[in-house]
Amino acid sequence: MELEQAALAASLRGRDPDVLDGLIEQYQHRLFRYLLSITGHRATAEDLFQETWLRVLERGHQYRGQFKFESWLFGIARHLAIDLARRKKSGSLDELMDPEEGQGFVPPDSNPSPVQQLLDGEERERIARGLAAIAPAYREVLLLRFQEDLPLQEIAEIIQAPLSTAKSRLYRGLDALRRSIGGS
Amino acid sequence: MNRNDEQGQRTHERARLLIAARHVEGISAADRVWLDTHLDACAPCSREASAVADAIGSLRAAPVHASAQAVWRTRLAVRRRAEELRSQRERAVALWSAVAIAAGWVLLTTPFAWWTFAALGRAARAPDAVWQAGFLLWWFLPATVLAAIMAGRHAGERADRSHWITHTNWGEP
Repeated sequence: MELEQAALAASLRGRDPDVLDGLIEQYQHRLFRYLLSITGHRATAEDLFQETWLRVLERGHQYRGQFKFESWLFGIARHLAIDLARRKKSGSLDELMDPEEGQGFVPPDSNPSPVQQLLDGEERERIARGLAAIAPAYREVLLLRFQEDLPLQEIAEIIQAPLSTAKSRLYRGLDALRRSIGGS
Repeated sequence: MNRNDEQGQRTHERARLLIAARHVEGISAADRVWLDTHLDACAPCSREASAVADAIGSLRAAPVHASAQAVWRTRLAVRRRAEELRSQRERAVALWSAVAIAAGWVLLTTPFAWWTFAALGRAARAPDAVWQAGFLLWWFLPATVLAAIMAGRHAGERADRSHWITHTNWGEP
């Protein structure tokens, strides 16, 4: 695994678009899901998706292979999302991602619902509604844990918070998810 | 609330904590045995465990994918940017090489060139301003030639890149 990461780091230093093509192919859905979980908006997630890969191309030399590539990738995506949110809002960065401060970063949209747009069918709609009702900071860790199957330590690194914060968000997020999807 | 009620409440609370912990960070074998035993006997906690498992199952099953169009646009943007970066890097190398060559040329030849132009000017009985202007032309010659070469190369590269991007099959979905 470390060898693979080291080889990937060397390839990224060369800024070879074919290497990037392979990575986009491999991580496209995971990265997009993650971006959607924090922005809650498909068009914004798509813009950030492109921005993230351009940033990977430009800053590829900064990836040293000490972390898993996806953690580094999600970290870049997260930074870009927060930067964008900061440009759109005048509030503080903490407020933007703090679950206690409401919904966080969900850009204004006249369409029916954010995450909901992606899914169709009754069951999917129910899940989408449930997910959309959860604060982005909780949605983010839930997705990293249960869709990406990332270990807690890596989640904490991505969200740049102590392990205890990552855990506490997961517990609260899981409770919110159960309430909103399970409806108890 | 009597002592038995309090103890029962604590048992259910512990079960709820363990149900969540099992999914979030894992629980010990002893806790797992205790929890499974409790769930077998307690319908409300068992429903809670099912609700949590269902919610996570729903989350895992949520089929969210990047659109082919967005992926295609991203690939195209990455290729364009990679080409820009490559071209910038090449131009930077060429520029610094030119600067180094010109600086070396100036350092090495200035005294001799000045002396030569002065001697030629005296031999031709030309006014000082004439041979000094000739010296200045000579002095700026390498930088001027290199700048012209680089400008020509840059224009050629831009034309090539535009042709390459326009005529490459990017497999648009």
